[in-house]
Parts: sequence; structure tokens; C-alpha cells
Amino acid sequence: MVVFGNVQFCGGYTRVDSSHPYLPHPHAQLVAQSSIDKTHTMAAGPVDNIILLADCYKSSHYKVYPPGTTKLYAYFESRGGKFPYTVFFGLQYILKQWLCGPVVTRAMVDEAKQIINTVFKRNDVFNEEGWNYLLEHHGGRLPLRVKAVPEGSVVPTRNVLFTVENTDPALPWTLLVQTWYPMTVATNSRVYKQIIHHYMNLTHDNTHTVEYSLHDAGYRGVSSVESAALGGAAHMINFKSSDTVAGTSLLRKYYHLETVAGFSSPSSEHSTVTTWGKTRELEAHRHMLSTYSEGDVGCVCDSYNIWQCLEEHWCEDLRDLVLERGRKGGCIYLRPDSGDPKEVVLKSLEILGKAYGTETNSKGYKLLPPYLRVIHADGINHKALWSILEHLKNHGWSTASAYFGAGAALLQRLDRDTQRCAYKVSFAEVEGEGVEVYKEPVTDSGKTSKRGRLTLQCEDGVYTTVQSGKGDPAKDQLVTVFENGELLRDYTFREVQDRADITFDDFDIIKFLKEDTD
Amino acid sequence: MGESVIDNVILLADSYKISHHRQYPPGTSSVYSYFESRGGRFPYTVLFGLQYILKRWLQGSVVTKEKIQEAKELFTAHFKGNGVFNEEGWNYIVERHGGRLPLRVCAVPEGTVVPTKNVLFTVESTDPMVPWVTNYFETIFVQVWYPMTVATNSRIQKQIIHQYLKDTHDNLESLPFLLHDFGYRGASSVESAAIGGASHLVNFKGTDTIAALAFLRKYYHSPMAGFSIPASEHSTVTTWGRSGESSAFRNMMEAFPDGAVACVSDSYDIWKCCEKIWGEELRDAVIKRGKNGGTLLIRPDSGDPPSVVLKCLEILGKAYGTTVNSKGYKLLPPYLRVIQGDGISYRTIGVILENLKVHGWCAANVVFGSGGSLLQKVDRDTQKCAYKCSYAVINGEGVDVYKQPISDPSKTSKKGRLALHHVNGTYVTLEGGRSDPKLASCVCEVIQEFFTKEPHYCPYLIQRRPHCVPPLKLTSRSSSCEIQTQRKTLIYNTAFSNFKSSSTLCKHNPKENKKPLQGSKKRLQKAPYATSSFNQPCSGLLHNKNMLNSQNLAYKINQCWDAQTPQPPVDSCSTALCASPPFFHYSPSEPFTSSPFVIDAVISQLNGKDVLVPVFENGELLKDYTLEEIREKADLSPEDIDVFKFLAEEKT
Repeated sequence: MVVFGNVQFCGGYTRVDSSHPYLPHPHAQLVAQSSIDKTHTMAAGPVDNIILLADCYKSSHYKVYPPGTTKLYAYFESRGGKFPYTVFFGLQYILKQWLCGPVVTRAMVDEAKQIINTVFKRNDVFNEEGWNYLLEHHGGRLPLRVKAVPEGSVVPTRNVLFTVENTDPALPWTLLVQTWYPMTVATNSRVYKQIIHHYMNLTHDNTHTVEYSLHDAGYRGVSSVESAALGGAAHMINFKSSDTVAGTSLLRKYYHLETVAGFSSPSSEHSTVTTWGKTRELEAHRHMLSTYSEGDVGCVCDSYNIWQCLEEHWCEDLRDLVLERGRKGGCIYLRPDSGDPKEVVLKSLEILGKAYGTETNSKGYKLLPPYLRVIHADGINHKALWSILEHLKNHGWSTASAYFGAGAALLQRLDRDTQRCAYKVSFAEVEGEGVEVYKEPVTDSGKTSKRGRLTLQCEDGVYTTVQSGKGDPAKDQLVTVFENGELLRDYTFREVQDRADITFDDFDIIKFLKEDTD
Repeated sequence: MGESVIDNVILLADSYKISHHRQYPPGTSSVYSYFESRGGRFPYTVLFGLQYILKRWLQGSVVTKEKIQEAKELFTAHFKGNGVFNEEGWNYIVERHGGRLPLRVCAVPEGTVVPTKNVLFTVESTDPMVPWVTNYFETIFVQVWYPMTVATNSRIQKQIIHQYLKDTHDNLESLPFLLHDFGYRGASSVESAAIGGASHLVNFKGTDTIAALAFLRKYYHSPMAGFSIPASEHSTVTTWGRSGESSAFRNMMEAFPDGAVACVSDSYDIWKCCEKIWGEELRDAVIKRGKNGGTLLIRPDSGDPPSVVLKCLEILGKAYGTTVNSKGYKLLPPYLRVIQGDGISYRTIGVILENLKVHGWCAANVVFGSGGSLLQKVDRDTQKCAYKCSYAVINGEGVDVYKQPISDPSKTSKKGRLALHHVNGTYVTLEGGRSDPKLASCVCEVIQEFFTKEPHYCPYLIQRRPHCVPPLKLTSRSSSCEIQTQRKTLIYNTAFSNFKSSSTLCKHNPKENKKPLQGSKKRLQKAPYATSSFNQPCSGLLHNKNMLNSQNLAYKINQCWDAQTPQPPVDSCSTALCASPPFFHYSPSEPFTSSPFVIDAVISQLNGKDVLVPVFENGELLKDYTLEEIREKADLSPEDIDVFKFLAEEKT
């Protein structure tokens, strides 16, 4: 934590008093830098210097813009990609975490200078003058304006999502591009939701369980705790079921979440079954049921032989306990965890249906008794999910019989190219004159960038990006969220969720899946 | 700024972990799990990044009452309030251990190149009251998959470049700089960028991911691990306008009059740019800069990489001329290179370099940059990483634990305590209870524990004795120092008394045959106890007095060895587990020390064959590797796998 005058700078944004959490101090003055915490504590991540949040080569850029450049204007878009739209999310985290308040200090400049000079093995790269200017004239706040579409908005690809303008080119842009990640996870997860929603509509009386139908099991499969938090939070825009606790922590800290956004129930894992020994698998499950004697529990059943486990243990030996739990209003989620997902889920349902009976809902589809469900969390991506649900439907099973979990496919198997996210300069002011800036590589026309100042307009539910400053500012959907170190919009998670909700005239996801040939 | 999203160690786990402590069989006093790559894309893995996880999250006094309360509140809401949270267990860790995690982690040294399907590290609980901690931290331990996979991926690319450089160039000097990390923006977070960038720097020295440098300073004692050069991006060119492209380049060269600079050249038309601007208009300036010791790297950034790189070289070669090196391949003048940073992965690098080779160009003409493929397009399945429980102590008995799903046999896990041996240039994982008794080292660890830990940690000894040692009586106000002292005293006492009891057991050995095994005995006698691996795991905790004891024990074991015939090992795994026979399947009349395993285990340990080294114990970091050590370990070696064979096989 660093102290600036009477402003405590903590957690990425200034707090002057609790009623105006983001009100900047009018004359923040730098105090001697004695308190930068350099210890290896959990509280500080690997990087705590904003100047180090950019690619190295960015350090050299201040020298190579045209002389007289006073303004640069850049925008972020998805240039098309896997999914036809994007759910915009996560910028607020980056702004609060890294950019709000006085974020540049003398000590950081000194540290960065030393690092950059060593990295480049030369001392004419680091823009010490520029950073000092920032310290002296802006109190260490970033002279930057960010306009963005409200978080949670569902915007078709190839539209501008946020713009950034600044007067100092050496600012950490790399960081803002990392918005691709939460955004892509939110989009990916919403596609899952649409698929489940579609099948639920077809095969079940209501869609109440949709938001619990896809459980986030991706914590371990993500590349870092910070990423897990971002991805986990993004998933919870669409679903209320998650094991990635880090996501909830992030939402509490950066999105005004008060309680929790996702829920979970006690569940076994292989180790808690296999420690009982192969001959005592039944005991393990029995113990699980008696330990958590009420409410929902999840049991993993494929430690040795999934079919034997279901047929003998769950359908015979444990039958009474299952029924008793049902009488108390609890539900057991049985988890096959390997094999071909679509066959495994169907076969599990068939076995359980035979033993426990099924009910038929108003749409004519079979459903297990309310105290028994199957949850599958192995190999679930949106294609697999689609094929499982289609398969169940073809065999007369309602979508409400099965729940799903996803890990890597939900939080990790995504990259900046999934939605082809790019951040490009489209406008500059050189010697007081506005210049449109674009690239148009002859070797890849897909990389051509937009030109001039941009507005994102929405008419009759259709978004269009208007280029070259020709748009109508009054209709612009981009809202100024950040200016000169100050956060101007502070969305709550509830707002984000509402905006991202599924609508009647949503994209036809099944059509998209059928056309998607990858 | 940069404050961690999470600062509570209890929140580093999947939420179902919260419910697991009550699910283990009653009487469970220890859980032992291991981490491996179950095969995957690349034939080996470079272990890296565990030290970060240990230092960042698990080292020291990490659990506090406040953190417990915070977690309790969160989990109560999360589980809709059914009292799942294990408040008692966490409080115990605060009170008994001062908030330090009673875990032991043994790992291969970071940077080691290990074929897949081998154990990479093991984790076990060290306090019988909280055996669940082992798997509570599965989530965070499994995240090692990321740095490990990036380091592996980057090393494969190094092997490919190395091979082509060897084939087509006079020297290998430039190798560490031939693959530059462009992945900062494409990583999913700053933390991931730092971790992934650092993993790349295990193999290379070129990076733009500054976060990695900060990371390696903080966690791997590396003052400056990577280097970069000034470079333009599209915006610094396009702001000059379409007609100002050459002015942008000229300005770039004037701003940095010497050293290497890179210029992105595909803003509009890469071919025209190479031919007209670089080849004609700026030719003199480039050559002049070359005389000042400057190097210009021209960066095409779109199109089909193999043909784009070749075409650029051809155009530039025509304009600037080429030399032919000793291997007969063409090289641009030393002040001119091409850098390709688009579409680079381990699959395309080989194709590009092969294409150059076929057309007579040396591999040293081109530098690569990689972003998404290097740092982001990997996942836990790339190397199929898994963390599984393989052994537990239940009611005082050690039992093998494994899963073996019929619906996917590739997910079958290893059994028992594990050791990793380096035999004849390759690595072998030994599974407890059915590995070759000549090599099994699992028991050896017991002997170490015998001196360092309270006896109830020792699963083998307590086959004879129920674990009746009461927990240390500590007041909650004990400082960690006091805890250490009390523990030391206890260790001394129990080590001594145990030693007595086990030697008594030896004497009871009813076996008749006294034929000694000469070789084994000799090696034992030569073993330098005081400096051997015996004292490693204790890291200063052990006193010399205990060393004496360990010598004594070895001597006694030696006697036992002389006093018996080795028996073929019993494959206890087929019938495994606690319901029926105990871990090593001894008949009750046969005392523990009569096992032939013991002796060979000691030998194997003393020979340094077990590669797993204790790196973390009870909140304390026992090994602190520097990046230099890791780089040395991970360096290319003649023993390496044939990377081209791998690539060819992958294609089919």
C-alpha cells in the first residue's frame, strides 16, 4: 500500500471517504516513497509497477510517433471470430486494479528506468521525461479517457467495444487488451447458456434450472489465480453455479457483489472415494450420504466401474438412502467422469430410470425423480453439450435430467484469436491536425483496421460502428468510464448480469452451431 | 495497484474441497498425492513454476483467524448455509502450527526434463489431525500445469531452431534470442503473463513480457532474465499516414542510431515496403546504420508465414546481397534480419525453417516472435496434467489408493508412495508395493521420517503400534520459534526410542539364510552419511546427534540385511487396500525391518537415485532455486529426444 498525502492508495483505486469511493483527491501530492511493499507477500502479485505493464517495445514508442503528435485515439474490437457476438466484461476490473488514482510514483519510475535500461541494454529507450511529466503535472494519474460499451452488453462482433484516447503515447495499452479474456469467457459461457436454454424450452416445462445447469469446475485448469478469478467471474454473469471461489472474491472487490454470485454443494472427488479402497466404494458413497445427510450432494462414480457403481450401489444398495433423502427434499447428483460424454450420460440416465422410475413432463419428455440427477463434467465444450442434449432429446429425455460442469473448455481453451480481439490506433492529432490512421495489410485483409473517431450506435436493437467521426454523439453507446485517473462509471454485477440476459430475439444459436464447421 | 484478487489461502481451492474433510474414511491420518503429466502433446515436460506457487501462496504463516472468518462467511453463503465449512480444522492449523500448512512437497528439481507419465512432485499431509490438507490444495498445485507446459512448449521450439541452426549455420551464439515472447497482451491476466513469460525465459532470453522479469526477480533470484530491442508497432507507423511510411522508418532509425531495432513493415504493402522503401529509398541509411553497429529487423506481420519469410529474404537478399557461410547457406549482411511474429508455433517454426533451408537460406536470417501460441494456446490437457491421491494412512495402516475407470483406462492413476529414479539416462517412476525391490526407495523416506517426525507420521512403523502420540501441547500463543524448539525435542526423543524399538524388531527376525549381498553392503558402508541426502529433507532441523543415529540405523539395517534372504516383492496392488492386506503384505509375524525393501531403498537413496527432493515442509521452503540453476537443468543435451521424429509422428 502506498500513501499519497491523506489519500490511501490501496487496491488500485483511491478512497477518500466511503460515500464517494472513487472521488480523486483534488491535489494529490506525492509523499516520500518509503512504503512500497517489496516483500513476497500474498497481497502483492508479481507485478506492482504500472510502467511494467506494457510490452517492452512500448517503451521505445514515444520516440517514434510523428513529431508534434499530441493525441492518439485507439479502439478495441473483436474482428470476428468463433462466436457471432461478444459479451463485454472485465474492463472495470482492469481499470480499478491497475489504472485508477495516482498510480505512478517516483520509485516506480526509478525502478522501471533501471529495468528498461537493462532489458534494452541501452539508456536512450526509457521515457523518463514523459513519466516525470506525468508525476509533476498529473500527480501520477494517467491522462487517459476510456469510453466503453456498458459491461454486460451483448454486441455483434466487428463493432467497437471501447476507445482510449490519451496525450502520452507511452501508456500501458497491453494491459487493456487483456480485456479479451473475461470478455471471451463471458461470451463462451453465454453460448452454453443459450444451448441449454434452447433445449430446456423444447423438452421441459420451465427454464428455472437453466442458470444452475453449467457448473464452473475450471479453477485448477486456468493459468493463474488471477485468471481463474476473472474467468470465474465472467461465467457467473450467465450461471449461478461455480466452484471457482476466486470469481466471487473478484466480484466482491471490483463489482459490488454483496453475497455470492455462484453456489455449490458438497461433492466427492476421486481421492475421497478411492482412499476407501476398491472393495469399499459402496462404503465411501454411504459415508458421503450419511455425512451430508440433507440437501444436495454430488458423488463421483467412475473410480473403478461406473456401470457397476450405478447398477449395484446406487440402484440397489443405497436405494433406501436415496429415497429417504428425496423425502427430505434433497437431491443426489451422480457424476460419471469419463468416457464418451453423450453415451455415458444417456446410459447413466437409462440405468437410473429403470431402477427409480421416470416421470413424463408436459412436453412429453422423461425426467428422473426430483431427488436424482446426473451431472457430467468431463469433456464438456459447447459442441459436446449440444450433441449430448440433442442425443438425450432424441431418446426422450428432458434436458432437466442432466447437469453439466466445464473446466478448461470454459476458462482456458480460449485465446485472443477466439474472438480475434485487436486494439488499434484509428486517429491521431499531429501538429494540431486530426489524422485518420489505419492499417490495411495486402497480405491479410482481415486485419484491416477501422478509421477515425468511432461511435457505436444502436438502432432497433442493431449495433453499428460509425467511422471517421461521422457518427451522432447523442446516439453513442460508448460511455466514458475513466478519465484522468478517475473511474466515472462503477457497474454493479447485477447490472452486468441483467444486460447479458438471454432475450427473445437473441441470436439463433442452433443455426450458428450448424453453420460452424470448425 | 497490483493487489492480489485473492489474499486468503483458504480461497485457493475449488469449493467442493470444502466438503472433503468429512468424506475420507474415518481413521485417515495422512493423504499422499502426486502430480504427473499423463502423456499429452509433447513427449516430455520441463517442471517449472512450483516454487512460485509455494512462495507466493503457501510459504510461512498463511492461515489466520481473520482469514478463517472471511472464508467461513463466504462459504456459508456459497453452500447456502449448511455448515460445510471446516472451521475447526483451520483453527487447529492456526493454533497448532501457527498458521503454517502441515504439508510436505517433494519435487524434481525445477528445470528437469522428465518424460511424461512420470511423477513430478508429491504432496502429503504431515499432521494426522488434518490429513485433508493434501488435496485441499490440489487446485493451486495443479496450476503448475501452466508454467510447466509453457516451458515445455518453448523448449520444443528451441530444439527445432537449434537443429536448423546446427545444420545451416556456423555457430549457435544467437540461439537464446531467436524466439522472442510477444504474448503479454494475449495472456489471460497479468499474473498469467508473468508466469508464462518467465517459463519461456527458462529456455530463451528474448522477451517483451516485462511482467516476467519482475516475476523472476521476485521469485527466482534473477536480476535480469531477458532482453529486448526497440521496435515499432502499427500505430507508430500508421500515425504517419499512408504516404509517411518511409518517414516513420527513417525516424525510427534516427531515434535509435545504433543497436538492433525492429520495424513492422506490413501496414499497407509488405512487398512494396521491402522492395522500394527498404531496398531502395532507405538502403543507404540501413547500411550506414550497420556501420555504426546497428541491426535492422524487418517484421512482416501477416500472410502465410513460410512463404512470406522466404519472399522477404529473397527481396532483401537481392537488394543488399548475401554471403555464403561455411555450411553453404546464404546469409543477409549482419546488419539485416527478418523477424516473423505472426502465426508462430512449434508446428510452423519447423516448416518455415525447412522452407528456408530448401531454398538455401541459413536459419540465422530470421528471428521468431510468438504470442498467443506460446503463452495462451495451451491448457491442462496439452500435457494431460493430473494430481491424484495414491496412498493414505488409515487406522495406522498404509494403503495404496488409485482410480481405474473402465470408461477411460488412460485415467488410471499410480499407486502407493512414489519415487522417481534416473536410470540409464531415462526416468522411471517407482510405485510403492510393486516396483522393483532393488530400486524401491519409498521406504527410505520412512527412515528419514523416523528421525525427523513424530512417529505417527511413519506408516510402516505404526503397523505395529497404533498412532498414540498425543499432539504437541501448545498454547495458541506459541511463536513459531517455540514450536520448532518443542518439536525438535520431541523429534530427538521419539527418534531415539523408535530406533530402539525397531532394532529390537530386527533381532526377532526368524529368517535363517544369512547370505550377504556384497555389493549392496559395500555401497552402504561407503555412504557419506553426514552429507548425504539423509540430512537434506530436514534442512537444518536435524542436529548432529541425529546424524549419529542415522548411521546407527544404517548399521543396524546392514546387519538385518546380512541376516536374511531377499524375498520377491508381493504385488499387493492387485488386491490392494485397507479392507484386506496391508500395504506391503507382510504376514503379521514378519517384522517391518525384515523387508528386503529397506536396504535397497537406502542404497538407492544414497546413490542419489530418487530425484524427488523435499522442497517444502510445514510452511517452510526447503529449496530455493535460481533461474540460472533451472536454465542449466533445462538446457539442451545430447540425450534429448529427437524432436523431428516427434513432429513427424504428430503429423500422422
